[in-house]
Amino acid sequence: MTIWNIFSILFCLAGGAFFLAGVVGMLRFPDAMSRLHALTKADNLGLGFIVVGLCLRSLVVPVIIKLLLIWLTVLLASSTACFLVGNYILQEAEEKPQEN
Amino acid sequence: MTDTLFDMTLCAALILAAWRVLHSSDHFQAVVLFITFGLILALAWVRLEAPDIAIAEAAVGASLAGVMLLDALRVMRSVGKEHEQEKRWTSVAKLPSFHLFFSFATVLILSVVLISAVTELSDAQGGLTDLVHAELEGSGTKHPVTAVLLNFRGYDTWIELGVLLLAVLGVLSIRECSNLHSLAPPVATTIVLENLVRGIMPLVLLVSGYLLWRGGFAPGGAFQAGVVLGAGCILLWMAGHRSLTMLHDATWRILLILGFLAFLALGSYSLLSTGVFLAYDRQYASIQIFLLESAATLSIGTTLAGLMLALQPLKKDLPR
Amino acid sequence: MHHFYLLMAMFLFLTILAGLLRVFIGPTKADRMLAAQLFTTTGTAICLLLAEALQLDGVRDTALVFVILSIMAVAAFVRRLEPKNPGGEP
Repeated sequence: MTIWNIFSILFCLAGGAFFLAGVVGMLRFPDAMSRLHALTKADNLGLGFIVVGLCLRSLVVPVIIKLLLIWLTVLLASSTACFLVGNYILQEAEEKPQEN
Repeated sequence: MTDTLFDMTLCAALILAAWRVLHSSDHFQAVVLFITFGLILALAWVRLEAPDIAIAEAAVGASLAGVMLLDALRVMRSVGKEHEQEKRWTSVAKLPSFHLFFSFATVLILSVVLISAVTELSDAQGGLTDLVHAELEGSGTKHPVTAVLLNFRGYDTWIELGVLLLAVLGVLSIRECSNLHSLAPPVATTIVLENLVRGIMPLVLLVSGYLLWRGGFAPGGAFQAGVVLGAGCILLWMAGHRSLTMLHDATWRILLILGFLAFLALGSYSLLSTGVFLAYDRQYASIQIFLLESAATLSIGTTLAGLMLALQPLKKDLPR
Repeated sequence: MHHFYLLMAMFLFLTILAGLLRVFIGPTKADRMLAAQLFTTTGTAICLLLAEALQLDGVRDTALVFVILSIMAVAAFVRRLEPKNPGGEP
């Protein structure tokens, strides 16, 4: 059980805790916007921790580069997704008073 | 022990997702759960150590099918045919008893047959894996899945490309348009999505080429590269770019039939030279496989994107 | 050691199932769209953990493709088929 493995386990556990926090927020927050916020922020942080943990596990450069690339792409994708869904929620809220 | 635990969780999740798809309260929820079901199935394929199939399932079964279903849903809504109460499932207690008995009997018989087939399999020998590995040397590629798809069972891949071609032709004939130029221009979206797609398209093309290249020795190959390419073209359309409609009509048609034609050309050449249709030269097998894969990638990408684009609103259908 | 990653992957999978509860219940359509967001991050994390547990490098490529496809899924969820009315903002 080398020192790298121990750190890898710690980082992965931290990541798991953040994922749990994100899902709890998704279930318990009162509003769609706040659920979106909780899910995006906490889940991405959790993924970052897990990626660091996996990088520490396999100390080979090509794998580390690939993992970091995946993490960057997920950051881009989920922040855009967050904006798109948030925009949708706003537009729905605007169209409702117009219908009444 | 952890393996079985993980597998059982996956199975339970699949059954749960499938049940909820059928019992959801409106169509949009059903489509979202259908996409979820597809993604859980992709995870199941990953667990079975088949990344090739996982990519194909996630791409076609989850994303492309989900996108087409959502478009259909929007058209229904705009035409006014979607009623809020459309999902009125008969609860089990109200079904006539012979329906209940019949469906229960069918499920029981199918389960017995499937379970006996699976338990018999575990007693048999290793299957075809040993045979494939024995013949892998002269097949022109180092990855067994690619060898099976493009060499040992090349006919099946050829016919699959033909089926995809037929699907696009079918959609085009239903829409009564012969090319993509009769489509209305794409709807502009937010700047955020535009810029994301602008930034991510090079990555998509890179991943597509990377998967094509890796198919030679690792999970990847023509179909996976093709679906990523198709997803990229669809993303372009969703971000407000004219995507495939920018292509000349003839170019699009040639790209569609390129894969099928490549197989046909290679097969005819080998028929004329050796008397066997679609037989590969041992020396040139790797080059032939790479050419076929590249042609198939282009075809599959344009076909899948074309399937989705052909379902978009036409110019003549837009309200004035 | 691979048991740890498998257990971690299973734990994340259970969080996906818990999140799906919101998709079942969620009163508005936006709540259902959260499923795509959930799968982008958690699904990728599960894929990467499984890649480590099963020692398969091809699964990391699967994770990359997952991300690209989930962008497409979210863009499809929020799309409008016709241009917005002149009354709304651009």
